[in-house]
Amino acid sequence: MDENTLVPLNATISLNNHDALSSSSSPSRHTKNDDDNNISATTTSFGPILALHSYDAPSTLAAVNAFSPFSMNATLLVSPLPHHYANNIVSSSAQDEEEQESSVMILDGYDDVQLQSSPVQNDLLPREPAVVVTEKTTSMITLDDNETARTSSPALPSNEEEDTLFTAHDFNITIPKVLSPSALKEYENCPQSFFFQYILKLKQPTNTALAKGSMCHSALEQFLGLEYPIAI
Amino acid sequence: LTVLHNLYRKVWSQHRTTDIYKGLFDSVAAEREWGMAGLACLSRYYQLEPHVAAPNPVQRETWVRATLAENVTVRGIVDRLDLVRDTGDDNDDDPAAAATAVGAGRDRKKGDVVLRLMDYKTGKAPDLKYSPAMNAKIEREAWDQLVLYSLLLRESKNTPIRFLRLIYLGGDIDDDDAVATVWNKRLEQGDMDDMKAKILRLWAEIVEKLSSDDPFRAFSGCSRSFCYCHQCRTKFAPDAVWQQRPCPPAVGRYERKT
Repeated sequence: MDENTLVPLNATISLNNHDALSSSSSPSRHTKNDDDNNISATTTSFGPILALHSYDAPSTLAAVNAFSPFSMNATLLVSPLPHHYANNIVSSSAQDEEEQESSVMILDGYDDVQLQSSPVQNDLLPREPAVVVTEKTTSMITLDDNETARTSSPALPSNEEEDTLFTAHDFNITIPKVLSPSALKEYENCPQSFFFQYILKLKQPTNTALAKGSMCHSALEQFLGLEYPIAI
Repeated sequence: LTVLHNLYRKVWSQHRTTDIYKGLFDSVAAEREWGMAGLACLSRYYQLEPHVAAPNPVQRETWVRATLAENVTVRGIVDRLDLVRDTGDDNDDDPAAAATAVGAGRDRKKGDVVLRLMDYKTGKAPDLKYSPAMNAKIEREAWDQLVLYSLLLRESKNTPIRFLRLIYLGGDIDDDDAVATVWNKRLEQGDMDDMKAKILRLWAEIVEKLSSDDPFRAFSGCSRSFCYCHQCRTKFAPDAVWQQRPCPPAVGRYERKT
């Protein structure tokens, strides 16, 4: 394989009726052992999780398209040498068997891998990998298939341990020194909701609409974070 | 677009198991549906600004903080500031549009290079199907946040904002007709002056209520059924906080068991 060649390793993942993942890809010659020579993944009630399992050298750089339950395709872009970065993270489905075998990355399970993000370049052609394999130090998520998604409820402080209700004596009231536009808008819409959230600090649990907004903002922030040539 | 989608997936992958978000969905199917709706929002964004040369941000996700009066400080995060050219044509839907074509080979109209403050909304644009007075109120409220940010930039850094832009990225994934909606507005100094007066008034109200004998009952709730006040009131002892009479049953996941 030409050393300048980026090797996209594509794995198509699909959920079956049992929420278990099946996946397919070519085996790699750099597998840890014969049993680990496939890209594999599993799923939890949160959805499928992929993790890098092993790699042939610490200097190996890889760009991994982020993987989440609403993406049924996971694509690895692998550069065999440290200075060869992913030059396009667009997914590719047509992969040459031999090229896949030449790649240096292995996906398998949740074993001891730390992922470190780095920014995608402004011109849509990342010069650095989206994810860099640094060292095998930490474990990825290890939820059982049957584990419930609702392990805890965020936000609103609970006083149900003692089955008592809040009273005024449970809080110290102070006049805020700084407020946000959101706080002021909340006060305008509902003074009591403002009082609960911004004075008593009883924050409203997040919801899907807020989560979607936050994630879109983060994605756009990274997408625009960049170095557009200013040519006015 | 693929890059943008993958960034969304990456961001969610990093957050989905955190305490804030891990209990958000009952099932993988619900999470996937939510994720697809987010991707659809970004697709609509990309339809608006598909090319590298189109958006021209000079700042993004920038903290801004200003003291508007003694003991009155407001701070927040500005989504994006663009450099645009003011063509002076207010009859155009987007009088600054020509300047966003920098580098794209399109003709550039002459005019001052100015700043445009932009905000993304992942919901639908407000439906202006009501009376003219009500529509004007809806529009004014939609612009309030951007006017406030412009005020903060003016008061803190003397940054002159000329235009405002709101991008509504649409609703749910199953809404085939959903499109991104762009609202543009030329900002006037008077808008910011009015906003400043309003903020000072609201702040004074808040301080007055907090300084009262019973601040817990000084802040009244609202009649909007979805508002958090209805849920949170049930966490308090009777009459500890302002109560609606008659008190409606709490709704939602924090409904208190009796």
